[in-house]
Amino acid sequence: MLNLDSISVAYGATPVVQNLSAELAEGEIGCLLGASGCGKTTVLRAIAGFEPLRAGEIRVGGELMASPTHMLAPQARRIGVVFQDYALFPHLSVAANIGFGLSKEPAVRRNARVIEMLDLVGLQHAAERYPHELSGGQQQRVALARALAPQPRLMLMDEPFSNLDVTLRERLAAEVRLILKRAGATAVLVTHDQREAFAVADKVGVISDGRLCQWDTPYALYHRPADRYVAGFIGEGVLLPAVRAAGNCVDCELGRLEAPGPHGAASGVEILIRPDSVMLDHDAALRARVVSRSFRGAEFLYTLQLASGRRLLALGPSRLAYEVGSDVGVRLVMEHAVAFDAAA
Amino acid sequence: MSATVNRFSRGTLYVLPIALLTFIPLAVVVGYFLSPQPEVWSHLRQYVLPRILVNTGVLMVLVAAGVLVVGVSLAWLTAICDFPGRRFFSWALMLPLAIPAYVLAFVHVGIFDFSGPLQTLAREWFGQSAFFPNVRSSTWAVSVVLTMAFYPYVYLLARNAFRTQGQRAMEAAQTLGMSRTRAFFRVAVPMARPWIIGGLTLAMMETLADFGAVAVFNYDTFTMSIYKSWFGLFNLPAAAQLASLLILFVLLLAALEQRLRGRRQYQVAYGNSPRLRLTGSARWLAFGVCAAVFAGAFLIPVIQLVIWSLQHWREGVDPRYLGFAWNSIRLALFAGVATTILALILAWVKRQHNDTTTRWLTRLSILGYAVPGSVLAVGVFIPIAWLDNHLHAIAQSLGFSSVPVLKGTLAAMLLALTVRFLAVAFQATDSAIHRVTRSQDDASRSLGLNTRQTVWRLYVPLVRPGLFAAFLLVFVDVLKEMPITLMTRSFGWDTLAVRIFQLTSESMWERAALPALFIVVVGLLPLVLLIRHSDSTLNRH
Repeated sequence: MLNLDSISVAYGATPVVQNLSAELAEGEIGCLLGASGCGKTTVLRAIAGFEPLRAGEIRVGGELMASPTHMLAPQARRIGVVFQDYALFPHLSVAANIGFGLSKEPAVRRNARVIEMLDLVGLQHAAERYPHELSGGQQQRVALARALAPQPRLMLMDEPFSNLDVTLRERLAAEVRLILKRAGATAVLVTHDQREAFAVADKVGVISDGRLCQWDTPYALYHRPADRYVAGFIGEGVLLPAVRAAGNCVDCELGRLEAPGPHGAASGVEILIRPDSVMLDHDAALRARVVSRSFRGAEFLYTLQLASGRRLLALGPSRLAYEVGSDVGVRLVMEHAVAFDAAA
Repeated sequence: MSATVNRFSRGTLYVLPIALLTFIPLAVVVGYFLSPQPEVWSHLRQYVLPRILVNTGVLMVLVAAGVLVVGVSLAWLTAICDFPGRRFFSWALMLPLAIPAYVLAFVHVGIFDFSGPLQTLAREWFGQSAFFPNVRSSTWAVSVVLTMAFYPYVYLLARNAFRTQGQRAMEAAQTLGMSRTRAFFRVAVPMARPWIIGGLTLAMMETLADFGAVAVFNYDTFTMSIYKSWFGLFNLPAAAQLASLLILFVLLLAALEQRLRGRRQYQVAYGNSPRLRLTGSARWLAFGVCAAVFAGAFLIPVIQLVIWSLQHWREGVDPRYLGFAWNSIRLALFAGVATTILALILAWVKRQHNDTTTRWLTRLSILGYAVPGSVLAVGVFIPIAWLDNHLHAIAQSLGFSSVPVLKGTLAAMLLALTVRFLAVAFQATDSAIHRVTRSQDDASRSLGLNTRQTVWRLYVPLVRPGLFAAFLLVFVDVLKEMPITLMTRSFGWDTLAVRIFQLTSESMWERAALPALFIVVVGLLPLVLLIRHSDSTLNRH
């Protein structure tokens, strides 16, 4: 449905997005994830038609939207956008906001569609209210309904939850996913919060410095990060030095582990150990000392020190707390390890 | 969003003609400074300059001191303290903005004059020998009147500054062991300095530009001398020379402001701090100070105007007033519409094209507000007279009779007024256009609307109130305006302001009262908007 083929965007001489490619199938929700200033919003603006391309092509449903020589105007793309500040029109009621993009439709059809959209986002009671009379979450749903109303081929959402209360975000993220799925929309959203990305998206792209590091399912991003940046950006964990051994295996302080994947020339590697792969087990032979711990409600996150002095992160149930300084046994529970060539 | 800044763009093409409207009159006047004529100079240096330089200098120092003391202390009282009548005074003290300085001047002279109510009363009580200071051509009297007319600029800006940012910092200073008074001088005033300096600069610009008030007192300043040279001695080069010197003063003032104001920063106040509750005699002192300023600068003048107008009404109103009022309104309407349209073009181009040249041309276009009206009158008249001579020759060669084509027409007057007040309309329009955010604009496009539809369905409804405000502000300013109208009108084409000038120069205060009252009442309209706006931005506490 959406094809980004090696696109590059620049502001003047400064490259902002470089050689980025990604694909999204009909009905899928994609998410661009990255720190602020990484270029993710620029990708979104390029898809919407607000930024010209320096190189590459953007296609929606096979139709060429943009290339360095061709640029379809935003109003001709049939791409809906939900802006970070929602950009609701303050002089129009909720219903008129939603109907704004339907002016070409006959009035009867327009009204029907507005009612349908109000239903979809659960704001039937607020049709005649004005944007400033709504809560942040309601405003966001109006923005969503307004963008969905003209039945766009693609929906774009820029940091859709950043203006909302932290406690509301996760609930609304699930709600937005439900609305988008019910409408059968293909959508791309942009965020800097991985929990939002995981809650909403089918596919997530991690962007750093204008480049796409990995475009994959949330599960794969967490368990099979493509490079060190993704490994560090998504979730928690530590890198332990290891040495390649025969048969897709590596040897490290914690023993021999299976680590499939392409082999680099170097024999020295580093492997990623996530805290959820580390089990605390009294009887395990491998010993470590608790250096610090932080309480997370359901569990504790422990920082452990191994005999070599290297550190490890581990999760433990909060009922069963180990004191700082105590000696614990450690056991690894993982299908296979992810290895990166050791840093030069 | 784009980080590249181009040097030129299509915007330059749209702004250039508007910028020329301002640039040509200024260039003409500055040209006189760059090419002084020896015989004109020696006359000016000998007979005119010494007196008006001293007069202008002394007046500026006194008015500066006056507006600072009155403006800052009233702002502090109404913004930080609590005392009886505080809520009322906090907006009522802005009302003097509706009274033009020349009206305030003639009312006060009328009250204190030999035949005025005060002196008459004094003579009744103490006999002929009753001592009374002569207010006419007294430096002190002019300064007091101009202080009353211009203190609201300082008051308004300082009050906003105290309300929005002084409070938290003063509390912080108090937790660090400073007394409330010390914290005011060490923290609140320095923090508000950029705004206070801004208000002071406005007041000084108005003082330099004032023509009507000093004319009432017959107190010679630059503007008075420009008028006298031109219409008394029919020496236009001398008037232009003086105008060029006055421009120099204005530039100095602008440079001084840049140095003094520092970096202005806007901060939002979070919550409200409790006010300083004045007790005992301090409350009544605060009340008294506010009441005295309000009475002197607004209440008494308005009452006096009403009394005189009623007297005049009973004696039968001059029927020509209707004609004068119609001229005033017509002029203000035309100028309001013209400036609003030009301002809309400037603001729109500024939003669409952000290149260096366009930005500079936009700034140049709105420079006219800093230029005294009498200077603009000279600057517009000279090129138009020159153009007229040429058009005249062409007209004659084509067999038309010899009437001036442009000189003394409504067009010339409108041109000067537009240049003078374009900045007023621009500021209102520009801030209105900024109410449409980039993302609203983008949202409209992503919903399938093209530029024309976006303008019609998004910009027009959102910007309309701002355009109305722009029009109203200019309308009222033109209605009050005196020097440009006086100097560029055709003979006999009088407006209310011009009529007031003529009547007051013959000391006929009572007869000037009715047109003045009309101007004051209309002038209250935009003020109501301003007060409501500042009340909604600063919550009423």
